[in-house]
Amino acid sequence: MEALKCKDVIVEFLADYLDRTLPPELTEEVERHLRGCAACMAYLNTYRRTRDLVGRHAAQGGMPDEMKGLLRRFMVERMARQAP
Amino acid sequence: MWAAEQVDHDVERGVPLNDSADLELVQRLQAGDVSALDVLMHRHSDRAYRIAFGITRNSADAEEVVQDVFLALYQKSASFEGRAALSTWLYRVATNAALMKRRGRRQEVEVSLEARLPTFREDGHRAGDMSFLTADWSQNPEADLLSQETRSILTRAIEGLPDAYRAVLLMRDVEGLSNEEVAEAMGESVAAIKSRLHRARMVLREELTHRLGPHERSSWFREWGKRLGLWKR
Repeated sequence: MEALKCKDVIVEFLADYLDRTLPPELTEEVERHLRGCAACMAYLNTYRRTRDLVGRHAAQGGMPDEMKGLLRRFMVERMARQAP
Repeated sequence: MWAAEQVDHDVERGVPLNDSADLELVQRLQAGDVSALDVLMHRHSDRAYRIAFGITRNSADAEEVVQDVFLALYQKSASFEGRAALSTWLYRVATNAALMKRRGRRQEVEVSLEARLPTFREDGHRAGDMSFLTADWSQNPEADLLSQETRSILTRAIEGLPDAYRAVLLMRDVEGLSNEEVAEAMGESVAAIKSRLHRARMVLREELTHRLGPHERSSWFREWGKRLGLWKR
């Protein structure tokens, strides 16, 4: 197999590599490239960190309690209207 | 009588919901027990709201979406056969309703994703300044990564994604759904979801690297250099 290029690793295989869904021989190829490529290693580390930060930063509380009260009231009214 | 008090706390973000409990609740609803709907709302409204808000970026729109979701559940519960998980069905309704809300309302011009993705030379190697390409900010101090400024950059970058990309990113990386569940919720192939997720993450990584990359690293070294007395300014 021809050695992987940065583009192959980053565009084609990185996400699956992190999900550990690549076949073993391809995993080995990716790791061989990473060992010799500081740019792709940095990319892998920062891509993984980005994924983690999104999970932590974008997380927000759930539906505000006041809105849940309104949702209940809305549903009670609609169910009453549609009751036989 | 509402049965909300009996609900366990599995609505917390990231905790898998129990599908068999959902199915039982739907069966109760089908049998005319409306208190089951209250329990279902407690189990799913937070996540449905987060998905809706994540896509619409508007709390009033997100509220309407969640209303639509549970009204649809009430009206269609009789025909729900349980072939797919109820949670997936609910998130699909929420996603579609939220995307509909956004359609036609977008005033901002979405910057092409292509311009925000990493670039490569013809030989397949990365293109660009080597100090940027090798910038590894993944080990920066937590305080830096969690700073208000970094959060703002990330929030803006997420908001700048096309809606369908943001929806996938939020369902996967925030809500923790699997590729298969997101594909089911979006009505698309797993391959399409994976591709969109990867591109969204790459865009965000680029934005963060511009903020936290070589320049920021050197300023961090400068700060510590000052503290250690290596240089005065």
